[in-house]
Amino acid sequence: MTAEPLQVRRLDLRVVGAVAALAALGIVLQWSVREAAAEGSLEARGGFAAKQCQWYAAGALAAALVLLVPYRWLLDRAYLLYGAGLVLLLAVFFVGSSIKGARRWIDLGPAMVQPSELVKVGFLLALARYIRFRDDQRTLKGLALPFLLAAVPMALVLRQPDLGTALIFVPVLFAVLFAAGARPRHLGLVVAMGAAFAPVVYFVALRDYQRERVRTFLVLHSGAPQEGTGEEREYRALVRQEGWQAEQSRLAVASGGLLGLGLTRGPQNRAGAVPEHQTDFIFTVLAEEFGFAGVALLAALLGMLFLALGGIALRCRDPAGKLLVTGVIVLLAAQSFVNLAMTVGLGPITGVPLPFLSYGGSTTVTSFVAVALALNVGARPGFDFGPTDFR
Amino acid sequence: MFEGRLRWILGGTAGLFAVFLARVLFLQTAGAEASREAVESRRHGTIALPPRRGAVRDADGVLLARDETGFDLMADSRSLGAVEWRCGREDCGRVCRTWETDPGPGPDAEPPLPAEAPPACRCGSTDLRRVEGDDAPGSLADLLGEPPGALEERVGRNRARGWTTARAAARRRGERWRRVTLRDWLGRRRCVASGLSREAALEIALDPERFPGFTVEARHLRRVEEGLDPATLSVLGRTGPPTPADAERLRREGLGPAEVHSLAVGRSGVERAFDRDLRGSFGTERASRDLYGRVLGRESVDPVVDGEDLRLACSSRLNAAAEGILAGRPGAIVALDPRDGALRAVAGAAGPEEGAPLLAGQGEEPGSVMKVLPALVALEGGVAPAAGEVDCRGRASKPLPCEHDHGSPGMREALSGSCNAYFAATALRIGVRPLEDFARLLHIDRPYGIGLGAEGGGTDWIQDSFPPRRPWVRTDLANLGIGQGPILLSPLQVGSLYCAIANGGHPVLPYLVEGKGRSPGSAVLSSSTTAQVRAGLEDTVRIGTASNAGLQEFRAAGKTGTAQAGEDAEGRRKLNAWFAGYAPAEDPRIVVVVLLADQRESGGRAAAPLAAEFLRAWRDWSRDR
Repeated sequence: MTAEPLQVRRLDLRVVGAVAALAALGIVLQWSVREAAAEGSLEARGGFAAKQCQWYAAGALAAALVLLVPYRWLLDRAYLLYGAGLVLLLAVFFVGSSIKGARRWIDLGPAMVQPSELVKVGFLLALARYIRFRDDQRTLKGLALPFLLAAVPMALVLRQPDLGTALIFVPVLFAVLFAAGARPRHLGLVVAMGAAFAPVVYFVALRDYQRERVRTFLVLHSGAPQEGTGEEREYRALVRQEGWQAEQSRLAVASGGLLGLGLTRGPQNRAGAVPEHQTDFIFTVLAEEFGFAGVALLAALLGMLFLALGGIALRCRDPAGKLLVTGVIVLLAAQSFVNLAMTVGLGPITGVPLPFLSYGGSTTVTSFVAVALALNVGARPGFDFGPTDFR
Repeated sequence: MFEGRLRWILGGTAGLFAVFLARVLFLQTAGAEASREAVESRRHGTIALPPRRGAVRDADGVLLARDETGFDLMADSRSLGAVEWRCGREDCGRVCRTWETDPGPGPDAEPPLPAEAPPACRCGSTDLRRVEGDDAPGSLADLLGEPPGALEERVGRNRARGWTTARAAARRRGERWRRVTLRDWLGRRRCVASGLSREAALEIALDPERFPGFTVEARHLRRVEEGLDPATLSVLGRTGPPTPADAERLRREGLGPAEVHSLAVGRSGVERAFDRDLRGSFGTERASRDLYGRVLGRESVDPVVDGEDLRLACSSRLNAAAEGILAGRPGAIVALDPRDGALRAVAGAAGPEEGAPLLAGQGEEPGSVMKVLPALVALEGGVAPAAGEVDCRGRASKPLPCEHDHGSPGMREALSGSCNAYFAATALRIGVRPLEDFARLLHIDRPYGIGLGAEGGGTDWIQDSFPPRRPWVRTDLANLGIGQGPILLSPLQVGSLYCAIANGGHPVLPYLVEGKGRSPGSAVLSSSTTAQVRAGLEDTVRIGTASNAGLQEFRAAGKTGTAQAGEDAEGRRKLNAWFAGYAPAEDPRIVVVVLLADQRESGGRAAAPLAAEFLRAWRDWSRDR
């Protein structure tokens, strides 16, 4: 291990503060879910708030461990970590546990681990490691390997199936390549090719229910058709069957109003009307009970976090560190946006949790580790020039 | 370069989040209220329960009209092809629905394509089993008490009929069948079962999740007994859906649009006059539902208050008897209880045609039956001409000619002989104002508005509004004294006037519904006044103008009247023949007024015998009671 001590005074306290505030908000929301739940229901029995506190503790512990290890040491072993992630992903298909029709978890006794969350960190490290000593990402050919790095875990995650998590790799990859100097026209060409292949992916790679979700999103988004037509019947059937979650989520968010209905007082939260409102749809509880004021607070905390992380990336003089922090920013931002957009009807429903707020061990630990990586970069400002420093 | 690109990335992220914030702000401002209502309406459904309209019986307890409010089960053709699938997971057991697919309109009505199972239950399970027939959860057949499959068959028939109707409508419009769209028949609700109980109706209406596409409509049916005479039917009146004016009135009473729509209101007669009592008030039933819309529990927020059952003062048997006595002639028979004004019988219309208005409430020239009014006023005021003060010389009499030479009658003789000269002179002594004042005290100044259709008549005239439009002259006042000229009274008002004479001077207001009348006021006439007038009326039957009518049998007292009511096409005079009286004379129990319009004979000859016939029917009726 490279003997490079952590400079504690260089730890970015804005990042630490924003994460702590988000975690506190998460505990409040989980508590609200439990308190509002009906006696004897799953939420009340499960005690998500207490368990989520344990996950935050585990996340903090993991973050502390990551901070102790210099990130360059981790970068040196990036491919190993990436490979380990892929092995875990493969293992899911053999020893994984299935919940609600998707095989995404490995049961480790006290906890269920979701490798698709952990592999994101491995992918970030591997991508940063691969690009830092090159400049061929400026050519179309040079983009091939980074895309392959992303494509392998994406394909595995998509087979679980977990469309949302698989899609998160795309903006991270594009943003890191763009930051590393890839030509926008090359990236645009890739996007165009992707768009051309989209129908193939839609019909071949996606499961029936995933296609249904996309179709639901498109149909629901085009508004209620004229009354009395065949389309209207289909629309109603869709709302009844598939659009339930989207519709209930939209109702919960909208009924919050500007100031919210009060902690534990949201009827949608109390009724558990939005399925998964403690995990992927935790935002609906925030919006319903705290209104736009709560939403603005969340946006402010996320904004503060991303700006502070951006500051770390700008101050960093190590290209790999810059890319790593950029990847962390985009990973968290993309996850947040995909999650938030789905709750307000701006995007289709995918199983992407809201970082720091959604209930769940793997996602919480991964988010903490990702932020810890960025803090690690900020607190170890050593020089390690690449050959080109991104012309 | 890295710095610039990172700023681009951060800027792009900020832009995306700005879009998100704008969306949330839009939802939480523009959509907040509607969303809260949507959440609330799913959790709690309320439904207004229509009340039962009160029944109407006659004085003998015979049921005349009753409410047959029923609930119809309406099927929305859109959901007729719903197929239910039950989740096989033990702890879920949810029911999902899919729809048979209509192949769309075509030249041959193709059968719908079978419904496909939904991909998965909301709980994620893919173990879905089709629910059919008896397995259907809380099926409609159970609620309706029908064998399984019967409803489905009717629904299917309606579905097919929908196609045929749409096709026929398209042909009428001159369009090709292929142009008929699903819209032509989708969304049209059709009745697939009627006569649902209130409980079954509530269960379906409050639980749309369980019975998608089915709604319940209240249907008001007023069952009127068959074989009722036209007079009773007319008194009873009709009901119907509210007119725009009714709807406005009901809304002012605080009813919601849906409630107004589901209500039947009285259009005429007692149904109209006592609409509010008969109608009752809506109740509210509330259901709390779980998040899937399944009903968890129900509570009654406001109990429904059914309409009041009414009992008429009149008897359909007496009405029918009176109708028989009139035998289709234009006229009216009205009978009142002089003790309180209860309208015991009413019959007779303006013409023989069906639906002709009742004459009982319409103003007609009263003729001599009105002479009791100047008699009462003059006696009460001490200005009645004593015997010898007025000379009656038949047609040469002043101020008005008389049919007979009455000599120099006193009040009693003038009444029994119906002396025009005497009462013309009396009216001239009294003047208009005291006549008006007493008419008001005796409640014959204006129509009563008790629901007998177009009511009219009354002494509430004003000098210059009465034809001919010219200043009053002495002859007008003299004519008033004998019930001619500027006055119209309805048989009902005449009856009310005679009630006051019969009961010792207490003014009464006629009423149609038991318990809804006003008790008679304190006496406005002295006992000596009524005694003198009653003596004159008894003489009328005994030795006077009504002596040949057979009224003595009933110890009746009364007054005849013959009013000139224009001329017919051949130039002959048309007369209104009247008789108004009461029986028995010493303790009056019934006041009867007979009016025959368009007669050529006097009241004593034409009307008084009918009064005797009616009294016979009344005697039988009161004996049976």
